[in-house]
Amino acid sequence: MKRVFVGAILVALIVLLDRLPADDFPTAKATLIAGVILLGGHIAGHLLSRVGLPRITGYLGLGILLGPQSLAVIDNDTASLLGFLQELAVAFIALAAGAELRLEQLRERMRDILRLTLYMTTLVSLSVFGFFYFIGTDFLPVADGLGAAEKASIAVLLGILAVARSPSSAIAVIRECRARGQFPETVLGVTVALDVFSIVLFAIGLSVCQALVSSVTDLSFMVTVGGELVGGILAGVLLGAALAFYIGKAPGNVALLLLGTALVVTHVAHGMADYVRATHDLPVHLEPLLICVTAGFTVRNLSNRGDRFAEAIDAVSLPVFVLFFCLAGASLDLQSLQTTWAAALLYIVIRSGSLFGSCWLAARHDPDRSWYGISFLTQAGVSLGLALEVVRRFPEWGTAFATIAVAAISINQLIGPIAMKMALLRAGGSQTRS
Amino acid sequence: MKLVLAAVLLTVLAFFGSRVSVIQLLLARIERIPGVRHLLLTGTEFVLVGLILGTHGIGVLDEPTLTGLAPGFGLGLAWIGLLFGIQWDVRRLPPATRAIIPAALGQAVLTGAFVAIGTHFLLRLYLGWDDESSLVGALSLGAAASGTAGIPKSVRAGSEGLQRLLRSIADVDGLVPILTFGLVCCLPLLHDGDTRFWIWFGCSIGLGLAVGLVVTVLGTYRLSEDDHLVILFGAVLLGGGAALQLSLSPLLVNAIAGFLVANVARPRTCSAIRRLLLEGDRAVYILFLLLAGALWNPGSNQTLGLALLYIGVRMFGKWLTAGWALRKWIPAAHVRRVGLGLISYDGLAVAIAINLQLLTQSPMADLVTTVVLVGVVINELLAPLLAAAALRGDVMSSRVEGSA
Amino acid sequence: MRIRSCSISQTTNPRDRPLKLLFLFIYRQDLVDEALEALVEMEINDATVFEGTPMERILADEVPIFAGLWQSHGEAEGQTRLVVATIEDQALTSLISVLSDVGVDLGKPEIARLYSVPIEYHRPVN
Repeated sequence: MKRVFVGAILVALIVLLDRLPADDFPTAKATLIAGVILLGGHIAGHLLSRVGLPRITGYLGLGILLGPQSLAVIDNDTASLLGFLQELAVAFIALAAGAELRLEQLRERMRDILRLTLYMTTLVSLSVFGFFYFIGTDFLPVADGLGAAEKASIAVLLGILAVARSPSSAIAVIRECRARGQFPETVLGVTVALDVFSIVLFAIGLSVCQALVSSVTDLSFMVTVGGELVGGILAGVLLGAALAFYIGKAPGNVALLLLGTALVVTHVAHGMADYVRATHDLPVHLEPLLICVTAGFTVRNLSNRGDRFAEAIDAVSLPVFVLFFCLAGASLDLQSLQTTWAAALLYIVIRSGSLFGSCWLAARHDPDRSWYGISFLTQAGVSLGLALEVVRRFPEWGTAFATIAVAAISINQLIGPIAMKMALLRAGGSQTRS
Repeated sequence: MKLVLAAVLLTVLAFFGSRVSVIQLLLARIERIPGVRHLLLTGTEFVLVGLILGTHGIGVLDEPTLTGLAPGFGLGLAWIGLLFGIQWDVRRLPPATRAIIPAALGQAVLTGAFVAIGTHFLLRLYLGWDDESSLVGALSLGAAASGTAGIPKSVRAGSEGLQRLLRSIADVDGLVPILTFGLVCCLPLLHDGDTRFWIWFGCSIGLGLAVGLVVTVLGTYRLSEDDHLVILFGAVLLGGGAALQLSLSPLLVNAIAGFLVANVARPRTCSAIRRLLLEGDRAVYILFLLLAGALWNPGSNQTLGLALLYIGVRMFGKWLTAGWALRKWIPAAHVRRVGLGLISYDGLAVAIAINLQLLTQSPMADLVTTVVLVGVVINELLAPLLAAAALRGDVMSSRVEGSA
Repeated sequence: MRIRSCSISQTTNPRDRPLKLLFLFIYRQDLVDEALEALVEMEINDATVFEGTPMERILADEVPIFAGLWQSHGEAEGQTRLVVATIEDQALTSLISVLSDVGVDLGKPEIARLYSVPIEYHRPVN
């Protein structure tokens, strides 16, 4: 009740500020909205946690409510000004994900992680591809009027998209539940591995699709992606070493340092990609997510500053999560669901079924095997990035493809955390504390 | 890209600056000179670093970059305001501090008025400004002049009791600059000619109370450390952003919020939020010194002359008014020089200059920034010497020993 | 220091139930209630709480920028709480676990520190 009262105060403030004569000061408005997001997210998260739902569902829900397609409190200009927070958050959450991966535990579970990853990558992508290639394109409005090569390309890309996962949601739910044990560690390890695999697969898939559509084979792209992966890992190791050194020399205000690092990595990576594209016409892009996961992993496992590093991440992770998921909710394109809900639903059903089946097969000796499948439902950042890349590469049908993808990703983003929380609370190999 | 690099550079410098031992290590020799040591202790050298990074130096912190960083400044101002306000738990103020409040506020008000009146005439007659601009400029400078910073414990001269008395005055008189500048932000010049001064003042109070109420009510639940941090950042961003949007003072708005939290919220919430705010105390100040240095336009001789005059007028005002305010505690023979212990500038002076720059990019704001910064640098060099002179000998009456 | 209460634990035979004297330093005021609740949970109801100031605060030469008022009356109040209590030897491990559960993390010296000394002799006894 008191939280609802506070919510009412926030609403009243927003309404009043809208009506009072104010200077055109967009950055002040963005600052104010960031404050509303944090306070409102705190309230929404707590309200939903009382009914057993994960807090990030509350943050997402608030973002949808405040977003441009609902109350428009977060309008497009504000979302654009606060965009850097989202980028910072993705990189920071990647640092947190890297810090969660403990080498000694990974070694014990390496076989399980690799088996789950390989089974899911193969079975999920083949299932989704197979369904949409042989049956499903009839259900896709985007496929009307397209040739066989284009339909095959759509099926391939949907298959690859189905593999991508959301480390940010995984981290957020694991931290909220304070989950420890074999199950959450395996889930996190698989999530990070799937992200890397999906980037590689996507690069291969794009080359294949381009070959199908234009009959031109360009293998240089594969070399570029390989280089990006190796470069990203190397950059991550170097960054991790630098962070460990800095923490050792000046252990105060590490949290501030990590936030700054996340911001710099994102902008330097994008800046370098733009520079290389402009000067050498090469689509080389070091993935900030990969750099930060590697850096976090390096500090945690290959230096003796791991504990201090992990404490600093813990200290500021909640405000970062609240901002990130609220802004992610605000950016969800729910209007696309109106036109593509059937196709999106089909995709979700096939994907979920194949996830469950592949995990069941891969973890057949694990008593928690029935809980793995639903832990991998969420899709977010990387998936959206892949969808946008399709738009760029295949302008004739890319937009329509992205609409379906975004609709499906939006639904997965909402139901995924709920399913994952349920799995964490029920799996035997998971100890949680709310 | 430049914006990001600038933000990171500022953060790193603020981080290093807040660790005083680093600076002391680097400048171990020259810091033995008392004025220089005090200047380093307060981090005032970062004004010069900011000047080097600013438009008149290497240009890393140029105007578009600083405009892009504006939300960060608003956050910093709100942080300071909330930190100041949350200290004012009136139930727990020691009797000695309560006793000194009227005197402390009195000397601050009189000094501020003295400086403001003098500056107003100088701006009108010497620089030929119109009424409105010179009023806003003069009141801002008066507000910046009224506060005092505490004497560091390293300045040991005279009795412990007198040091504590002066420190108490410095702790309390920050209320005057915050309130004064809050009123300045309600003047028509900063609201496109809107003359509804009391409406805007009411908005400041209402906004502050709303933010404070939000924190207080949310604090009634049993919250984790993480939740306290979310609420703190939320309150600071909300208060700061809303105040800037309405061209009000984030310092005043959040000070009111902090005051409400200190006196109404659960002790656990208040204590947790205060502790988190304290962690950013020095880093925010260093950041503001950097920004002020970057915004500083040191080129004009006229402004420099005015700045030196301002410093002199302020010192005189402090010296005069302190004597009147402290006559109850200090023997008449010694009361005159005690004012020399109140020369050091309050950190709020720099915050006021930054706040004014955010609200109006104008020659008036540039002048206020220049005058305040020159005053800060020179005062920090002179303050320990003057304080040592003020505290020389055993000048206490037994009343001070008992009450301070 | 202000002493709020004073009582001494009792035992029938010190040799049968070895006791320790517990010194729990809590540097975070917002965790004091939790720590005391943890002691109550362990059936330690006769602890005494002292207030003090950390040494580094007294020796600190730093000039407070915006927090001078708090530093002044914070010193008067005391920023450290020292909880002194007696505890049975075998209960110490459980107490550490309970303290950790309520957020008093003894692994972080800036939050809390715990010391115990064996009690050889005490009066009164039952």
